[in-house]
Amino acid sequence: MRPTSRRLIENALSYVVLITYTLASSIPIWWVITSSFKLPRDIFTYAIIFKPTLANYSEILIGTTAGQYFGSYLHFVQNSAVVSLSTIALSLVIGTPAAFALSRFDFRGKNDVTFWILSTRMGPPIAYIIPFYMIFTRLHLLDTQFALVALYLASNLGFTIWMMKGFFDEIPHELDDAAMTDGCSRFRAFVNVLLPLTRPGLSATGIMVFLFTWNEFLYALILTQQNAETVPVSLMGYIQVLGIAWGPMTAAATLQIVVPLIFSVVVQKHLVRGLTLGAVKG
Amino acid sequence: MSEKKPEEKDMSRRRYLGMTGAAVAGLVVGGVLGYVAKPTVTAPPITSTETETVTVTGTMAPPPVTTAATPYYKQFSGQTVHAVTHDTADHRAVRALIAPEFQTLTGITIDSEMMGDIVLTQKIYTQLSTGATGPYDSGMVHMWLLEGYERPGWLTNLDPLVNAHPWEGILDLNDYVPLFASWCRTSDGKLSGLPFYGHAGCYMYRKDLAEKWGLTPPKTMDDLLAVTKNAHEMGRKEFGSSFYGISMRGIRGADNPHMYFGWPWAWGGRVLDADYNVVANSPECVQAFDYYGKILQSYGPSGSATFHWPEVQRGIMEGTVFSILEATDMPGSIEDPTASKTAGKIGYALLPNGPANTTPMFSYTTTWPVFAHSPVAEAALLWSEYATSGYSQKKTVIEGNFFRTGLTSKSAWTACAAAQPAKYWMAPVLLQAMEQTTNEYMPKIPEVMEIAGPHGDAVSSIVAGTPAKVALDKAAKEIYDILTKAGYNIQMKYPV
Amino acid sequence: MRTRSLELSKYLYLLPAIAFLCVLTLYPFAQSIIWSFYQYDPAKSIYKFIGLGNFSDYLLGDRFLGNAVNTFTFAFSTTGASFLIGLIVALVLNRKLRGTPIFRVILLLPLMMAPVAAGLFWKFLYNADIGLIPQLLSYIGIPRTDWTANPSLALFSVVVVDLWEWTPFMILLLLAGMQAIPLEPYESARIDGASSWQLLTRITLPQMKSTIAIAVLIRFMDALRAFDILWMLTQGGPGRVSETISVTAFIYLYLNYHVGYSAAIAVIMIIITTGISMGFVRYLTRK
Repeated sequence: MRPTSRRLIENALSYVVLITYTLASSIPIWWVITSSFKLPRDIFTYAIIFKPTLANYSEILIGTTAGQYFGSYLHFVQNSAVVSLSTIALSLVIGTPAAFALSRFDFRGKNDVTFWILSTRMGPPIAYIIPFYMIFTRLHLLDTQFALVALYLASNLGFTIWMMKGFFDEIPHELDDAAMTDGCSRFRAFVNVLLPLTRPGLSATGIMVFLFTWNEFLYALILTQQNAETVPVSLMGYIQVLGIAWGPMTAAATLQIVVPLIFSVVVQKHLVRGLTLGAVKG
Repeated sequence: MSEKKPEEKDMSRRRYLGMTGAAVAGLVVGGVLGYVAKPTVTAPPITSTETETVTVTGTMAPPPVTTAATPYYKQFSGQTVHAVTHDTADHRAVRALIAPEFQTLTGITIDSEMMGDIVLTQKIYTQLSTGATGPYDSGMVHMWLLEGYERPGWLTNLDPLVNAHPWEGILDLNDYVPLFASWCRTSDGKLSGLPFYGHAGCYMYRKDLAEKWGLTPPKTMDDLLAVTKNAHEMGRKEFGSSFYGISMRGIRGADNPHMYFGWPWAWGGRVLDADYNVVANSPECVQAFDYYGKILQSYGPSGSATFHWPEVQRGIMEGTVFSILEATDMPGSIEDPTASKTAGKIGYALLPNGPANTTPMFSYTTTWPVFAHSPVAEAALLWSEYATSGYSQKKTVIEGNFFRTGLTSKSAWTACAAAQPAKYWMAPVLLQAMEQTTNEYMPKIPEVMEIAGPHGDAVSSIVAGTPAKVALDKAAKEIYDILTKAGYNIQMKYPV
Repeated sequence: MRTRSLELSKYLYLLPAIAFLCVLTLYPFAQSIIWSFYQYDPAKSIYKFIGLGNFSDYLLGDRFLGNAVNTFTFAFSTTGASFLIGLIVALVLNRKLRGTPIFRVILLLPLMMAPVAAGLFWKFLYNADIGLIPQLLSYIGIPRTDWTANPSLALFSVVVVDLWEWTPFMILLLLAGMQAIPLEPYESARIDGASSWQLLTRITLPQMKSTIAIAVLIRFMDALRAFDILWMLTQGGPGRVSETISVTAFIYLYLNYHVGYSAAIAVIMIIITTGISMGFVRYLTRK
């Protein structure tokens, strides 16, 4: 009797925590989403009943006004998507083996290398703007997706390696040894045994890298003009000399959330799958 | 992770050397790359060739020779000008209506990129400061940046070009509102840009409520205090605690020298005197900002210390403030019924006089310079001339029906007011405000933004409650340090 | 023979990553360091070696102390709070109650909003008259005021936004760490009659050590360098009460055009973050 009632209380408390936290974190988002369907006049009211309009969305997708930021949303989204996905793919492909090596192997200077990799993330981005601008200008790579991917990779590789190293560290060495005594090489052990176990880690890291690059602003601002401009930079474009275009901006911001949402829902499914297949249990 | 190496001792020394070696190598590589990639620091500005002759290009059939010289503006046919501008209704109007016409007339293609202000300024700065020749040939530059961009030679001197190539019916330097035109000349008298957009300051208030409550626009600062107090109290009785008598900017930082520097003028104060000595903490300035802080603390919204003009403007558009002291270009938004709840209810008056018998100074101009390294400087100038001409301004308003209140051409103002009196009924007041404003209050030095930083920080803390003398003393000291370090031989007239 | 090929293959795993990082991070890093020893003002065509001049100007000037205090206050508050809240929420999510997947998706939303946009919207949300936050607080009797304009609350108001945005990151990491823990220890402990609290402190937390360490470290370092949110909400104001080292570096670079000075501030920031991380890592590897 006692365990079940304690369980009930714990569950109830858990729901309270969850609901409170979810409400608190989603109210501002709710405001943004509803605002995107309101006329600019109504945005600053809390009217629950208002005349909904799709004008803001048509502004950014089709562009009823002849401005740069109106009607080009799909172009910006495409840039953001290509850049983000490339960065994730490359950082996982390059970073995961490196993380594995740091977790499993031992060699001279390992601690220093590990630390140096993390240190690549330590400088304030502001310090690197002008040097990067100059490199890419000289190489005629300004305003290209390539430049952004290169830069984002540099910023996120360290993070990826450190994250994945942590996940590898949590897997006991016995599993490696077991696989190898079964006849696998190090590499096969890595690919067939350890990698699947780190699916939660891969997903988490992938989501984080995606978010860092999807929403990154400063580098995209400096390194892109029209061709490779990403969505966050375009959001700033709604701050105009005559006022902030709240309508289109909330619409763009709402759409901006949709893609990562879909992405993480998709990846989360793999998270669950990874667990049910997990060799760690039993 | 736990295999111990027997050669630990030896290892540490080798490791140390290895690390040092790697660090040095890194620095060397970085240094070499840095040297190679070092930005070009000086560059001479483009000088124009002053010939009116027609150049014949070596094609199969030479162009027919006419007795009349080919107009100057046709000589650049085939070139493309990359301009970067703000994304505002004015620029959109120009791009939609004026650019096609220009392209047909001159054969010059206009590639106009539009973006938000912060982004635009950063991109232009990054391009100019690294000596790049592109991607932009010309762009919008706030007038307080003009001096700082002109002195290192980043901008083309427009005088020789403008003098050598008059453009009948388009280019008329005397048609620009004198206030805005004067902002386009740098301290050495050189014309460094053309005025695209400009404003002075005025008092905007709810004339419907003023009528109801028996209030009239204030003529002096004492009046302002009284009117604001009344409006505040009556407004709260009627609308509740979210109504305020007045709203003005209070945000920190260097973004508002054109307003903050000019505020003490009404008390006889200024930030730097004519010889650049620091007088930012003079008794007049202290009085002026004491007033500024107190009126906002008593009758302004509680967020005033972080308010920039969008927040101030929104207050009046939402109907939560009775009055604002703001820019004369705001009617364009305030009178727009799709965006403003108070369209049609706003009255416009001149700023009130202070104890020194003059209004505070408040002015701004967006200038349109041509960048020095542009390979198509003359063509870019032609576009700027055309786009800022009285003719274009008139056309966008009268033919395009864009409601532009930042016009810089006197003839355009007159023509628009005559053609659309229902919209431009407040034009006389705005023009009078522009006439009454000088830009003497803002020093034309490259360091103006840098000294605007501590000054703006001080204003913000005054609005948030710091005593004016304390904040201004601190700002004055910092301004003095900045200028002496930059090489000015000056004094603090009111030492702390 | 075997060890030799093992030796080689070790480096092969690491090579692409290191090569890439070297090329793209060493140059700007070195460039910034070099510039920090110069007075480099592009606007005035000045490029003059001044040794430690920039450093002494900033470190011994009036601004540094306030900046440093703000930077650390901000970083500690947001990291600590997001860790505590994140841990609780992650533990709750780990119980796999009904509806967990939905909650998980919703609570990730703040992380998906661009910091630029979040900063702008929150600025509006804090507005004393039409903002949601003062509105909600007024229901529990707190008078309406704009936090971002209040000298004593300004920094804290930014911490709240940073928490709102980044706690999901904490939750995500901690949850992933929890889910990698094998079930056996739990089962045997339960059989032995352990309480939930004991399960938490004796099994969960110790097993998650490296995950916690990384999460906290990364969050702390990011918080030290935070810029977007601060700039959008308060710009370091009112006055300078919420100005951090990053904000000052930005002001000197983009508003005052003193590239060398800004680089020096950036170098100081790098030294601080490196020092802290080294200390942290040393503490960790001492086990």
